[in-house]
Amino acid sequence: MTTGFDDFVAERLDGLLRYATVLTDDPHLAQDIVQNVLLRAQERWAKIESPPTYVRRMITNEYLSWRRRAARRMVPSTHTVLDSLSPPEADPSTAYDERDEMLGLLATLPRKQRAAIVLRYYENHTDAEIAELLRCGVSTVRSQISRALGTLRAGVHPLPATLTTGVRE
Amino acid sequence: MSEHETEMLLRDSLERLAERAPDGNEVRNALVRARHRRRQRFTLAAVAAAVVVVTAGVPVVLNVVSDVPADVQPAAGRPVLDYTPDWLPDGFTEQYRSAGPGHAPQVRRWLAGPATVELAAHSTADPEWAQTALRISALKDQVVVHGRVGMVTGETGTAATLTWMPDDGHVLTAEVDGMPDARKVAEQVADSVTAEPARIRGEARFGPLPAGLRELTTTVRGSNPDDGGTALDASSPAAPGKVAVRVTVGAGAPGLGGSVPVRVRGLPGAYLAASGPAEATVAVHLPSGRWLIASGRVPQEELVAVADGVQLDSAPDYGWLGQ
Repeated sequence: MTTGFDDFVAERLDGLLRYATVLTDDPHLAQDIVQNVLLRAQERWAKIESPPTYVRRMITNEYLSWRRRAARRMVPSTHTVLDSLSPPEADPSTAYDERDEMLGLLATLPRKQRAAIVLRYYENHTDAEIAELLRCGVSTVRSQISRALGTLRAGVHPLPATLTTGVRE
Repeated sequence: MSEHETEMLLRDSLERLAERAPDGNEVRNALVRARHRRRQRFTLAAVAAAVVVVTAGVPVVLNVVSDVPADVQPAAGRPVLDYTPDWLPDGFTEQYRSAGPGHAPQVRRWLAGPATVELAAHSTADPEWAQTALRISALKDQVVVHGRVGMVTGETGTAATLTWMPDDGHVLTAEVDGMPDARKVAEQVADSVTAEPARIRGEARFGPLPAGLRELTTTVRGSNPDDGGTALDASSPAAPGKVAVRVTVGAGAPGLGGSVPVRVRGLPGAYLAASGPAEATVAVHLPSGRWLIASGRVPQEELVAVADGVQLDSAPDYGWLGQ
């Protein structure tokens, strides 16, 4: 039992932390959630039928009901932070600013909409899989994603293609 | 920006955000620490058991083993109630705890004769409670609980409900019914509430559920440990918040007039078809002497499958009933 759990953690912990970070927009909260979920999973490991699904569902549920989230929510990444994480690409200023803006907009979404967006565009789940994870109907998932995309599309302002300095006009 | 461009930007942004994930060292350390603690507890328990065996002899061991029914497995998913009142009016004893996964309400109930005090916690992620802050701010009858503004509703002199938000993610209600000065009592109960958790460990939990059914809540109720029982509720996708199937395990025998025989958990059981307002029921008398009853408006095979899958716990925590 323990070996199975250790293997699971060795293989998947990084992915779980990345998923939780994208879900919560807060690396510290992501760590808290993943840790709590794995501690509980470790206790009942032998009874868990599909650990990858179970653990991701638990992480999602924890995020949706986490009481301290609002108090600990982080400001979306700054241009400087993002620059330090990865080397610039072809047109870094435009790409980074738009990503900043998108992350800022994502932070304004209601939790369930954000979860649906993350499950669709980060985890690449189908509507049916998302419905299963969020314990709601497929039509609800579609409606959540549609509303979220509407909010995001309305909020994103594409930058001129010629802008290369990182300074908004 | 086109839909495609928005989606591409969205994927890029999420990937970039994922790069901020912490490394897993702290989590790995916490898991190792937890395992060590468990081993220490296990060692202490083993030493204690060995002392008992040495003192009482081999027959004790044999009795213990033969008392354990074959289908008993320790329950794993035990819901937790996050809040506890430090004060209740004299004479009230706790007789009900209910909670479940996701946004299921957490409910605790204390009774004294016909009077009831109920403390419930709801998640603001539940649409039904998402607008509570607005509702509180719109109401005239406001009170302060732990420095947060709350509201009083349903006040009749012998009944009152106080609703407040201890944080942005939770809504708590303290409901008092059937006693004088209900509002004052509700305020006093609310003021004493702390984030001290209480667990629910019933004598049963759902096993694998038939496709479409999902666990809703686990409820333990009773006026004392001897008459305690466990109820498990599951919902269907058609009505996510409603009970589609309920399983109860307890001492109470069902009325089975008009039933037909059916095998349940490898034992002779009974099936009673739905009739008028009465739901279909499957019942079986367990070797422990308890009754397991599954009921709902679902096909017979589904009820039997639910009953077959239920995992029994030989060591439920009913000690708090009547306390």
